[in-house]
Amino acid sequence: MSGQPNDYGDVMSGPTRETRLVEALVTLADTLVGGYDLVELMHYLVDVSVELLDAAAAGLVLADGTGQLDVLASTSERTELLEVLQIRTGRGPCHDCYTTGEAQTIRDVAAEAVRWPQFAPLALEQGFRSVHAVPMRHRERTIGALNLFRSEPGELAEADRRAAQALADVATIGILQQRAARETTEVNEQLEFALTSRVVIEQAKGILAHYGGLTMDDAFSHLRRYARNHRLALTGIAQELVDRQRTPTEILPSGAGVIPRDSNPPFRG
Amino acid sequence: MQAIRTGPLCEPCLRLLPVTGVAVSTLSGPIHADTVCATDDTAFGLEEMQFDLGEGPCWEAFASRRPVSVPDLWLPEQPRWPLFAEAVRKTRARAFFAYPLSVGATAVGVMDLYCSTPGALNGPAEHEAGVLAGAVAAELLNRVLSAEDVDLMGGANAGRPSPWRDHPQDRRAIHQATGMLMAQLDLPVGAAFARLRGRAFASGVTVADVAAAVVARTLMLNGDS
Repeated sequence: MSGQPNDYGDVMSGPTRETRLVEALVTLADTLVGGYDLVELMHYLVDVSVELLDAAAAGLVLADGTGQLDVLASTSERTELLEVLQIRTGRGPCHDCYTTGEAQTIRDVAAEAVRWPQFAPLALEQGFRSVHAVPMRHRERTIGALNLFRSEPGELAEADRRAAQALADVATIGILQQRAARETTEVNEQLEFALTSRVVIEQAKGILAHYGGLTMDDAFSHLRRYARNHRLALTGIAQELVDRQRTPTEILPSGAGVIPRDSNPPFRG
Repeated sequence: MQAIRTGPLCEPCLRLLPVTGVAVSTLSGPIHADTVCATDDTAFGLEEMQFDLGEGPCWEAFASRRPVSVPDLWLPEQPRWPLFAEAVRKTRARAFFAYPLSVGATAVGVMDLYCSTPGALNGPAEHEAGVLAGAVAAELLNRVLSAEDVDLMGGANAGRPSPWRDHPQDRRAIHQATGMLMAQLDLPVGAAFARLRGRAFASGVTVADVAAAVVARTLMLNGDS
């Protein structure tokens, strides 16, 4: 459907297009509910945009945690080049869309040569005459932009604008949700490590202390020396000892004063 | 390591709430429980009691992520925690309130409040306790995450008490004793810990007491007791 005239009704009947749009939204939602690969999702989003909307090409830029934009997906090398240019120069409709959080419409790229001396000529050279950029925004937070490039000058039809925004909105919520879940997982893992690593080391000391008839301090010294000599993480070795995947004999040097069993104190009450 | 502490955790809660004592503990699993601070021995003892028994309001609050309120600990209908309900009668606590400490989806521990007289917290106090729990959770999580990790190769901080704790007593001897029993009786960690717990319960002493004797090698648990 790419590059079709603005009056898409001539090309594709309304219900069919609406049905396919619903299908696309359902596919997006399904993908987001299950596990998904972010890059694949972004490629789906640009492909479906070109398929369903009046656009010759589509591209997607996304900001990372530090606000640095990156081209995540595009339907052609041509749009990718245009977006990279905008990111590098910090100028162009997609970049404006990201920084303002508002949709940007460029009806005629040829008229923007003064405003964007680098972007406009390159876009024309690639065969694009108009651009519509849709923000990927959730409340006050904009994380990127979905950019639609057309070979004809003019505006995108209202129905297409709303469809593009709906696709971008669903993807945005999915991305934000995934980021939040990842941050939570990282924090939970750090917390788990902080709360359990010392426990595991104490347990490992106890194992070595009993096995070698050592004081806790000596047991710890052996554990630490072994870790350093083998360039292994102390907590990792301790965990292996506790999980009984590593034996005390591996850690303790042979002859490290193993107390004969009968020298242990008698069993008490 | 002291630098990561920005202030006491328990005292502000005691000042602001109509309770007798406050304790804050980190929880991560049945073996990984540790009291960060306690305003008095009873508050500390109530934490230890719940850790030793493996049951009580703090575990329920932590698991359910909801506050647990016990306005009268002496009421007979406390079948949720039969061992705790019995043991707590030997303390001066009559009411108990456990608040889960979580930041977003991250649960870090509990804030436990006790009163020496029975009675529920009134509305404003309940609200205040919830707000304080949020602040304590954020501060505690920050302390734990900003503490230097145990040095990977075993630096100066490894083998020391957790740096985010204020309370002088730690449970390291319990973990050391667990390890000794693992080696002596050829048990996995959970079973060795259960043996310590069982001995403490049978003898009417704390797990820490049994652990101290095991580590001092004045007590040996035999293979089938």
